[in-house]
Amino acid sequence: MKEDYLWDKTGSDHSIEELENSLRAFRLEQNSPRMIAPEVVPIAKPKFFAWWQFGFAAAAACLAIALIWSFVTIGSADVERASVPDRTQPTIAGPASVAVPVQPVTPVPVSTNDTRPPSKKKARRTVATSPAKSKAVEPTFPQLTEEEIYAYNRLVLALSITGDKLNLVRDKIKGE
Amino acid sequence: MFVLAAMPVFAQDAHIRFDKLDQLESKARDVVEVNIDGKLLDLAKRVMAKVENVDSKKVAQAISGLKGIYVRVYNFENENEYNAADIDEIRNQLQAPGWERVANVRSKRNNQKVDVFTMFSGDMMSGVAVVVSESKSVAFVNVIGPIDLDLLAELSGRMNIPRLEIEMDPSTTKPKNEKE
Repeated sequence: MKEDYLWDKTGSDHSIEELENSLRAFRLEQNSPRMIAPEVVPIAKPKFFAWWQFGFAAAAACLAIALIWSFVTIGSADVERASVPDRTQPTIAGPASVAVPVQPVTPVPVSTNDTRPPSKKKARRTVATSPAKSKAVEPTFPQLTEEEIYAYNRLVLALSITGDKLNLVRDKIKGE
Repeated sequence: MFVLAAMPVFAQDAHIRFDKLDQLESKARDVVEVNIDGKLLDLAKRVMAKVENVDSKKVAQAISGLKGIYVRVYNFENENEYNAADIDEIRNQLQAPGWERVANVRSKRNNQKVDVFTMFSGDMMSGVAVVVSESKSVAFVNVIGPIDLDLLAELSGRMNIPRLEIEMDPSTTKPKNEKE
């Protein structure tokens, strides 16, 4: 191999020339167009896929809001119920109920003369009282302790029975 | 000269004894027993005065002098299931000096008998007793201290003092005659 031909192409070298001829197709031409990097074209997402995602997100947001709202309202209702006499009872709860505010049926705990707080007792029986038939204004109950609610319910129950029996006499006098 | 010592006038006791009503209790289908006096009554009266309602205020005023209220109600499964002698035992207590019968109602319907008694200490009412007996129920009410009966009867049915229809709570399966 002639080193001059390989260096500056002077002279001739048969083996090098054969190699050049075989690789001629890959020779870089000065006027050949420059290679441009392929353009990356993003694939457009189908429209239904976007709406589905949006719908799911909206539904999840609505569900979260509904859960938060329900927790808040239940919490506030519990606070109100704790301060009001037995309304789901005559009774006196709320009274009549516990209070016992006016309710369709107001169960009122019935017990013997026991001054222990209700928390230490176990109610064995409840007595359902009928709702007030005549127009009754819903009373406003202040913040009451458990003992106060218990005492109030008991008193209202006793007064209810007393009034009811007295009305028997009045009705008879009136001729009803 | 004999000096007659004036007999001291003892205040009549308006408290009726319900001790001997075991027979009624054992036979009754359901029993209502309410005893309110002392501190429990004071607490209840304070609550009643606090309630923001016109009728509650009236009731609070009507019971301001109340010292005790005791109620017994016995409901029976069948007619005439109780012994009339048990009722008479209570009525006999109301024959004692001091008690005056102010109302007496008899009705053949349901064999109903209603008696209302009052006791006065001077000009002050010191007690009220109501005895109601029917075919299937017996009720005793004893109020110690002054109380406005007219107002109480008038307010019955209003203000969370509804006309009472005592029924067992159907959701409970408690044995009969069980008291709290």
